[in-house]
Amino acid sequence: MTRALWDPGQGDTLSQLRSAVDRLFENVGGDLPWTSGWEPVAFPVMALREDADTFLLEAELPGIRMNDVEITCLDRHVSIRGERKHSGDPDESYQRRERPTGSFVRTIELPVDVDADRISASLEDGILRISIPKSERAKPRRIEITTPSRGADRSVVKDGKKEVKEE
Amino acid sequence: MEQTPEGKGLARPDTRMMSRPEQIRQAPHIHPPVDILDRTEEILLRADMPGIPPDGIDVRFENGVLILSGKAPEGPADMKDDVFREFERVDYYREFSIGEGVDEDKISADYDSGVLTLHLPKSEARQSRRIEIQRK
Repeated sequence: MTRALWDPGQGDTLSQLRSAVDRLFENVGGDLPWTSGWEPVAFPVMALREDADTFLLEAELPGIRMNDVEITCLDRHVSIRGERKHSGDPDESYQRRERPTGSFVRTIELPVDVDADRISASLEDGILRISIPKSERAKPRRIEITTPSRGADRSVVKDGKKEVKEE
Repeated sequence: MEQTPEGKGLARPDTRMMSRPEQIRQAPHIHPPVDILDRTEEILLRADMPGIPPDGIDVRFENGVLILSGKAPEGPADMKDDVFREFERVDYYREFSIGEGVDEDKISADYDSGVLTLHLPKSEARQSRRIEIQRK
């Protein structure tokens, strides 16, 4: 089964992310997805964190090997796809079957440009961690404040007319 | 007829922890989803418990109750802020009533890639046997 959480379409990306997460919570009747029942809302569940330089995307992928998962990045879109195979013979007699199986894909759109060449990933104890460096242009930078030289003209707009104030 | 490892009904959330005062726990925790396979010689249980280092996993068998727990590591030391979050680092906890017929001395467990696997061998008497038919 393929579950896409949201379409990376137009609009403000960050609010898109938020509204998608909000929808996620609505879908489970106000309960948080990790505390309610047995049906996961989306697979895998993810968390995105950031600092000034890097995004860290984490996903819970229990029972999945690095070879079974593919990470792609196109512009600001990062996708995780793979398959969680059946752990045994499907014909066997299950007394409980709560763990999801099948193929999955999830895509998120990051709010700023990233340096796709320097993305790295690790998988440990069922947690996938993808480190996504922000592009140089997207990093916050200090803006020098310059003092305008004295005697420069200052223009103000008043009643639709441009007036020039003399110092 | 085989006994259900978890006493009350199949595929329903285990609410016993809420109704049994001695089971109230302080730390927030989630029930890991499990697969339970009933095989001829053993009951096989797999539980998704991602994010727990192997030394944080604890499996106990006391008075016919199998208890799985996992202790989440402390939060990350880096200074990153959440953009969004669908899962938390919380502890795992779940218990199952195991009927008679499991050879508790031979229960074995391993934890790999975030999945806990338990082998619960059935005691000899519980295994269904093929009865040889004598030809005359």
